[in-house]
Amino acid sequence: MSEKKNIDKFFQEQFRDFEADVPESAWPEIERRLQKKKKRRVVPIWWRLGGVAALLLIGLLVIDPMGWRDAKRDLPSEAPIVQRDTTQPVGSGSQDQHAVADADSTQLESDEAIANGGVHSPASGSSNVEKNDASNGGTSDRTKQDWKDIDRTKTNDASAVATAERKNNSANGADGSTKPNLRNANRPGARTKQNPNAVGQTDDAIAQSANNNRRTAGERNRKKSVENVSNVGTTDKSPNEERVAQANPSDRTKKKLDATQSATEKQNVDTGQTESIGTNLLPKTDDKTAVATQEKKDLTKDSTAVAEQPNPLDELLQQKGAPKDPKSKSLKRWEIASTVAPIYAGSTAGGSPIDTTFAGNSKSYDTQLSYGLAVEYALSKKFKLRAGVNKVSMSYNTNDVALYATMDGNTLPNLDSPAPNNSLGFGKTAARGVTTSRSAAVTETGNLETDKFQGRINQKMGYIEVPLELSYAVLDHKFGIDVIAGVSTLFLDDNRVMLYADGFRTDLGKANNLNATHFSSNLGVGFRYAFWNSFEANFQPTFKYQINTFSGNDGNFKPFFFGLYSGLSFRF
Amino acid sequence: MILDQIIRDCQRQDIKAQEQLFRLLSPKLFAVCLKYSRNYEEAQDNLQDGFMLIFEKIGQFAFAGSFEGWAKRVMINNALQVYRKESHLKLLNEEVIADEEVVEVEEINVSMDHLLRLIQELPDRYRLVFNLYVIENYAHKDIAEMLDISIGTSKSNLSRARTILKDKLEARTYNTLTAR
Repeated sequence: MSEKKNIDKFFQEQFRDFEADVPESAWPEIERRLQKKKKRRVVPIWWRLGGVAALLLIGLLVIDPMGWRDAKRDLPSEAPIVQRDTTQPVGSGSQDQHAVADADSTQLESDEAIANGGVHSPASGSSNVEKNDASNGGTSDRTKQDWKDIDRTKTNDASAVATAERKNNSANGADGSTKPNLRNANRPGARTKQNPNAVGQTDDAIAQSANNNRRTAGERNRKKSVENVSNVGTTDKSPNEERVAQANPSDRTKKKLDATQSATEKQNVDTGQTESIGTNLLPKTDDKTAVATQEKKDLTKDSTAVAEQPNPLDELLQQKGAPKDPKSKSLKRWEIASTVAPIYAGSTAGGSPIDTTFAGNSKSYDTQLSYGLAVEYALSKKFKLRAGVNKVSMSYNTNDVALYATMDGNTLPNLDSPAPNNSLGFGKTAARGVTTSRSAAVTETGNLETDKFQGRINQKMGYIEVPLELSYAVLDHKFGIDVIAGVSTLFLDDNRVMLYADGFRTDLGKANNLNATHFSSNLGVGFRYAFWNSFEANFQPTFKYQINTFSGNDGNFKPFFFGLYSGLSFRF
Repeated sequence: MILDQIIRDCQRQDIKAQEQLFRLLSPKLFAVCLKYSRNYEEAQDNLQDGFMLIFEKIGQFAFAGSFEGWAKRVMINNALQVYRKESHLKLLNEEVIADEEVVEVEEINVSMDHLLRLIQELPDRYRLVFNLYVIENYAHKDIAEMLDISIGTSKSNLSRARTILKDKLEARTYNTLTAR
């Protein structure tokens, strides 16, 4: 009589430590799926990184982190307000000139003061000077010293207002009060309220507040000078100076000329003096310092006069409405290029990543073709950031390889060979047919010469390359020269090792010591020629030293690429 | 510990370690699959899918607790996933029956194969509930959550499963007895 048992207990006991026989086919199938997944991972990463790079560039286009676009737009028509703005007493003006002359940076750093009070003043100075610079034609090579002169100019103009404010916070209020219409109309309350805090404000804050008010030409003028001065002031060393100056020489030129002219037209009693400012400033095309000095003189003369400029001018300007689109003459920041390059690969050290046996074999490198797209964003007139996507591959041959059949199985640990080929043994043929080999079978073979095949092993590594580079324009005219440096990320896309021997070809599989992702550091020189409109032809020989190509056992093989990248680009 | 090292290598996607892990754990985990699947073929599929999941998620294992237990849970969850998708299509007698009387069977000699087959022949949900409750010792509350059913449904599913199994076992016993 069998016992009755709770069914639960029964099953529990039966299944305790129950192990089943796993079918043989289970693991190979899992292995296959794992390897398929590994391959697929390469492309999505590439997509993601490419997407990130694209997003970054688009982000830069959409978001205007430093108000560059506004800076451009605000430049024009500052001149008219200039004459009105120097409401500060003459004394401060003259004092300021010294201060300005002596300590550009400190003065410039007090952007807040300048911003609040002296917004208007710099305009004419800057506009004219920049116009002069533009007419010089050599805007691309503006030096810092030039900028200092320009700054001086600007600040001189602003000095009456600016330095006065700097010295005396309440002066800001005074500024506000003396120019009530202008200030209040355009930034209700903002200026008068802000003035006491002016010194404490940051340049960004000023720039932002400047950006916020775009209702009239007057405002724009003011903002422009704020940003110009603030930009210049905060970063004596930054390319901003150049950028601000150079970015808009042409549009500033045009608009300031108009503005100045209209301004001068609108002067009444003090017209003579204001005109003198304008005219004095205008013709100094080549001597920026001269302009500066001239403006200084003019200021001392004209500050009081200008200070009494009546408000109607302001109102007129306010009625002018939106300015013309400045973009027509602005810096074209974006560039798209397609590139094609023959790549000459090599290794800076001997060795072989396939096997140490081949370390001493001669290697010959096939020239490959790389092609891709690049997007470039101009951070300033001189610096450009570029990113792109290329397809590149490296194919080289290890020569003088001897091939044997052995019982050893796969004797190349760095390769994952498909099944029938992993019973091949490899050796190196010496010049005179005497072979050295790691395979024991060789030495046992009677006649070495007849038992072997001679050939070469070709290793091909294909990559998707995502370069990120910075280029500095050494020369920038119709014909330009850049220095380019950066890094690339390379994603392994193709990995093949083939044996070519005596007319037949054997697939040796893949190298398992290649990293799926590695990097290269790039250095190159770019030559560009703008042959039509916004199109340019580029030629950039670049040296790319590969880093971390192999995950191990690289046999002291240090690859590099040297590519002659050429292509067409379009600026917009 | 050797298993720890294997796990770490698997976290680095080392295929040799992955194979080692498979060889180590697949007998037990295949047993789990057999219990939860409808038949041998499905059990194989579930084993493969389950291991793919294990290798995918092995990075999440924080070396707290038994790895075997963790892997088993992954395997079971995978099985539940499969049937969760289908179960809404199947109609089962959901009538909540009186709570379980003690169901007893004769302790006879039955082969594992046969027992497995009996379990596999159960309707999906009954099988899952039976396994989770009887073998894995989950509470009805947890089972209800895992299968997205009510506690009452879980209990009645279990009862029905027991009844079916008992009947089949006894039928078999009867058959063997009468086959003489």
